[in-house]
Amino acid sequence: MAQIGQFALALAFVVTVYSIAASLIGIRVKHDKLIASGRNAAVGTFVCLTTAFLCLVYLFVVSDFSINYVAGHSNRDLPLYFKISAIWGGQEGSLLLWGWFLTGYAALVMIQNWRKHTAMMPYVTAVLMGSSLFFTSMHLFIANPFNQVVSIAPGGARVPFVPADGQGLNPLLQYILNAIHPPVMYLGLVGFAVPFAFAMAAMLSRQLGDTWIRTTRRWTMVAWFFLGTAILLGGKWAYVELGWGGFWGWDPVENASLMPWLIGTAFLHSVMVQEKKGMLKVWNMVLIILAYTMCLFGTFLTRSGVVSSVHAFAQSSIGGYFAAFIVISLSGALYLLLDRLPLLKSENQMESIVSRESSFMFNNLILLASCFAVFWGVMFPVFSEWIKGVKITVGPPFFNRVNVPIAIFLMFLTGVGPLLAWRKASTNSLKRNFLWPAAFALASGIVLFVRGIGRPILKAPEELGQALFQKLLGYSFTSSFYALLAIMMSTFVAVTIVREFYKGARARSHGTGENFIEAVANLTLQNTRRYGGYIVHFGFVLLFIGWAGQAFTTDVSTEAGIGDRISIRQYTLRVDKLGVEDTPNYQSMKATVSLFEDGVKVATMGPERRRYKAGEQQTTTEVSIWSTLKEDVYVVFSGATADGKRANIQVYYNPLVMWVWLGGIVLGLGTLIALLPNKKSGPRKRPQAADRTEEQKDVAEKVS
Amino acid sequence: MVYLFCGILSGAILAAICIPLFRRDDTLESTIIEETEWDLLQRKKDVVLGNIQDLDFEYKCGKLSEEDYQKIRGEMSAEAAVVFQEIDSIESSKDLDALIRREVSARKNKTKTGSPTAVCPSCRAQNSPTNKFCAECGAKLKH
Repeated sequence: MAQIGQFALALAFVVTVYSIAASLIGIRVKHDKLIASGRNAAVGTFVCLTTAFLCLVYLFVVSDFSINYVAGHSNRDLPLYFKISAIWGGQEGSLLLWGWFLTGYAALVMIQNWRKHTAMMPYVTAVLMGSSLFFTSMHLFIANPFNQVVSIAPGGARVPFVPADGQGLNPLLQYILNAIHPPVMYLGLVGFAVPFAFAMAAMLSRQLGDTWIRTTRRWTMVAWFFLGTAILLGGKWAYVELGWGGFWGWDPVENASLMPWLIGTAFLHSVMVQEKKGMLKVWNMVLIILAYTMCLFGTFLTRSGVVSSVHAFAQSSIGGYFAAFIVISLSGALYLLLDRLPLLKSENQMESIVSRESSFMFNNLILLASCFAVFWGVMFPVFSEWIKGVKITVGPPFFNRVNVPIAIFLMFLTGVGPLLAWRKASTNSLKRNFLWPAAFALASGIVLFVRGIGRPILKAPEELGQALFQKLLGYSFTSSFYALLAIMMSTFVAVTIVREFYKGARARSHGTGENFIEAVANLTLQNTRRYGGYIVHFGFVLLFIGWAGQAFTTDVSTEAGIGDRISIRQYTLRVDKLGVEDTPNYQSMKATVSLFEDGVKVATMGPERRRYKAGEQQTTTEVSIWSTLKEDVYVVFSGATADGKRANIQVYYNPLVMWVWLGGIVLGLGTLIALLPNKKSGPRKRPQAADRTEEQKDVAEKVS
Repeated sequence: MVYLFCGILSGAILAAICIPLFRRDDTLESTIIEETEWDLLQRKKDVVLGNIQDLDFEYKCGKLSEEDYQKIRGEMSAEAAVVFQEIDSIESSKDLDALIRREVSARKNKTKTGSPTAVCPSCRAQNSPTNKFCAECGAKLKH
């Protein structure tokens, strides 16, 4: 099976080269048949990599330890589902997965669009296959997953060797959500290759209208959806598996996935301005180039080892190749952009600062500022080491100080955008739209402030931070104050969204006679992009509330014997039992803990500490979480005393964490709705022909 | 077995690559058709009309004041008027783009249906393959 996989990789390489050559020569000599052949070759590359991937799956399932990659990342006692997820547990397999997804996207794009955009598609083929060539080369020459295990015989000869068992999968990766986290992440990162390819094709073919944007809108949303889902899955993994009580630690690799997501979010908003008003053409090109570059840069960060990270297990020597690929892609794209600048002139001007398009522009600038702050924080240790020879670590306080105010302002813009009209909004319209959301936001702020949340602390000037606004006001803003602002902004946005649905459904039901529920459903299904977008915004509101709860996290760490009690807020934990469990894969020490809320038992918890038997016998903490809408009680069993009678227990009280996961689900749901095609309206509900005729009359009047 | 599978895989890929090279000319499935001015105007028309529909809906929802609505709608209608005028001028003239557009549509239809049509050598209009004379200008058709 390894031979078939090896052959499929070699064939994929040859076919990719042919596809690029056939597409480019076909365009040059205007040879339609050659172009069609290049397209088929692109689909053929996907077939080859599918074959290679299935071969690798087979080798893992049957535990063929004659293959180096299988022996290094699996073992006989690993459950089947982890054997399969072990495929992307290391370098070679995850690169193969990346390449496979890329060619899969390419094949789908070819099949979907070939007859539609004939001038652009040969270039799309060439660009996508250009990226694919990098990955197929890596599979074949640098990180081949089908290499055999060899031992050095006396005399220096390399002879095949089959180990009795494998090294096993990294225990940190033996968590079911993390089994799907990498594929989802890759679907997101690779997905940005599609809009990037269309953008390049638009510039190469000089078809610089909005065709490339309309064609790739859904593809971009798919990539954005997968990337966002992967970030949340990663957060859930960190929360459950790493045992430090949080879900986001501004780790360089977390940041690496956040950066393309931030730019992708900006892009999804700014394309609307180009579609509606023919503006921001250069900006959109810049954004998609940056988004794709950041996807590659994220992979470079993870693989190169230039920064320290919880993803240290993914480090390898291929960073240099990625760096070279990034430089080549970015240089080519920027050269093309500069060359085509005269063709990317805006069709309209920004008419007013108080308009929807300007709010989108602000949102873009804020998202980019946030991305830059994250980039700077990630790369500062590297730059400082290059320049001064000293690695200066940038930790969560820096990221929080910069990004928290940015996120609050962004949430404000999320509420403002839909309230403003395109072109220009008068004071009258502003009053009409802002009154209720602002009133609710203020009311929520007053209620929380009265309850003691968010009160800034008056401090002497020398005690204050460096920020100018803190000095001017004479206050130190605590995280509680930011939480207050975050909840006020969330209320503001939630009210605007509810009002958008309410007003839309009311207007619709007046016109059609539908009842309110029907009107809401049809309104959403007939304009999925807008109302799906609102649902996405609502998901963010929930996520934001959950995030604000982090300001009130507390924890307690203690050594406890059987029968001892630990108190945190309204909860009491009692250690009932300390035991040992043995499975083929690992041995674990487990504490059985009863959880009481205000004296009433609500749960039995079982935090563990595991030692995995394969390979280096790594240990992990398996936390136990009692989760409600109000808060999580998060228990970590960090170890036992030498006599095994007392346990080191750490308990975290984390408010509102469930809102983060609920927000993620709503966000995903909203994105799926936005991806649906608009439902066609019936003639009674939306007499399009009549509208058009009326419009024609209106236009005729204007002309005369 | 390994060799057989590798042979089948390479054969299938080779066939997929070669088939388009030996196809008959009239399939035209990847003929490069560039966007014309007429295409862009058609899309611009859709965008402008869509914007007006959105504006009307937002007004019905009560999100816009009467003053804002009338002003913006007037501007949008004027924009639409310009687009309609440009489309009219292309459609009424024997503009090259329009002719290309017409021919391309016909060729696309031909690819979809698979049935050949007769193109008039004089005015380039599409005719039924059974016609002996052009339905548009009356010129004799070559079969």
